[in-house]
Amino acid sequence: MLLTRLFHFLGGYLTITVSGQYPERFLNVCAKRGILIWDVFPCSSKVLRCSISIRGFRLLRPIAKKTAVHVKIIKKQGLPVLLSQYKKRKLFLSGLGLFILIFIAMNQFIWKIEVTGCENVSQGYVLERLAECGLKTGSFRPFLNEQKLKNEMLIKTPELAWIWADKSGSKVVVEVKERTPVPEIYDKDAFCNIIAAKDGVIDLMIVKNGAPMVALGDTVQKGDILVSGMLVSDKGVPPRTVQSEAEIYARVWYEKNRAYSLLDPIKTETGETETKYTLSLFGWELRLFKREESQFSHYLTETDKKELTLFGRYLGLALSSVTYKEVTITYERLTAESVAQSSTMELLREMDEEVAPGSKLTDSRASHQAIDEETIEVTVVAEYLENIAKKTEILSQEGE
Amino acid sequence: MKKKKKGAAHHVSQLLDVSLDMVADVPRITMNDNRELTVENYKSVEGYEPEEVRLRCTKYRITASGSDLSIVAITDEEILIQGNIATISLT
Repeated sequence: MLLTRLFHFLGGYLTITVSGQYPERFLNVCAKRGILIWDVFPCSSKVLRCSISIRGFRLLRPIAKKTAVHVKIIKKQGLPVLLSQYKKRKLFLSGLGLFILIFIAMNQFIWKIEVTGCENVSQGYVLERLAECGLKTGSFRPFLNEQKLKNEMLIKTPELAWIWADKSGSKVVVEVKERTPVPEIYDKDAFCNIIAAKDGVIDLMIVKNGAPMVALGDTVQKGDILVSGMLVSDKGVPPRTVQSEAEIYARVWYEKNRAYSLLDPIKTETGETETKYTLSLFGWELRLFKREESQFSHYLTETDKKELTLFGRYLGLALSSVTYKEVTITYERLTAESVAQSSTMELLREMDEEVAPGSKLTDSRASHQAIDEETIEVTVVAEYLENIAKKTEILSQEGE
Repeated sequence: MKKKKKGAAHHVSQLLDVSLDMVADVPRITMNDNRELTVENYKSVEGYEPEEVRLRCTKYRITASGSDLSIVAITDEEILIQGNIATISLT
């Protein structure tokens, strides 16, 4: 029933009154001729009220004449009627059309590029390269050939191993994967020495090829030759050059020191907040506030961004907000020991990232001394067992 | 002649065990509660008032009476009447 009503609405229909001596005859003739009539209601014995489709109404004239009834339109309903009402309001209609047109036109451009997957390469660098390959904010979407862009990007940017561009409306999400650096490969017959990459004390030597120049427990400096590729025999055989191979583990010391404050700031929110909105409109930023800086002297910030999407497609409109929460800062005095303990952990963690991968922490010492009443200096010395072997090719001696 | 034909349809429907309206051109009257009345194979509407609807069929007249009767849909073969139906008479 609902469905038939919907169809009637889409096609448009009329409510009419049929008045005459025998309005029932009118119904019979309409039924015979296949004109659909519904919601028939008798107003009096000689007047009927009913609904009829616009198409059916056009066929009524001969029937009305034949059955001697008078047909009068009471109400016009349905979609075509609504549309014809708007026909008169030309300016409104043209405005609506213009808006839709602009909207569609603006959607044909790219307003936002997101780069994900950057590790060592900066996002700005990738964006710069993308611009060189023809993808930048404001470029025309239908002209963008994703396959060509991907190929060009990979050729022009040696740092990237893989790239994927995903268009969704006016937003392009570019996913990149960085290339791992190619290890240095030496010619099989090349003449290579192994030198120390760092200062240290030799702890373990695994020499696979070449003549060792140092012994266990020796202290070496950076650049010292550990394993020589020149094999010299004392039995009169001419010296032979080889590519030396070795793993040399040495105890290497690292030292780090930094000043720390004993006063620990504690931030408590006062409940006062201030929100500043920025409207991103097709690549332009529209600031909806006057002053750049917050009215609070101490604050925490929270950012939020809402993008306008239609069916998962970015439409080029976004509203971002920055909320400043006022805080009051109170200082709590900590003991030197607790500060030293937490900062030692921090320094050790930093060191862990600096040493060569695969190194083992064997020992660490931490000390602290007061600089003034509120500051201490923390010094951490850590001992790592680290592979310090570094291969170097000797080119000048090859000719000899 | 007409009677003979009708008799034949009756016999066929009984013989094949199918309902009569499948073999003969007879009205089929369906009622849902006392609110809805559907008549198939009617001939024409004879009278229509909120209290009474008279339909003409091949051999008799169907009169549905009650209150607030309205013809919701009307086509060549079928008519749907809604309202409070109190009595139906076939005369």
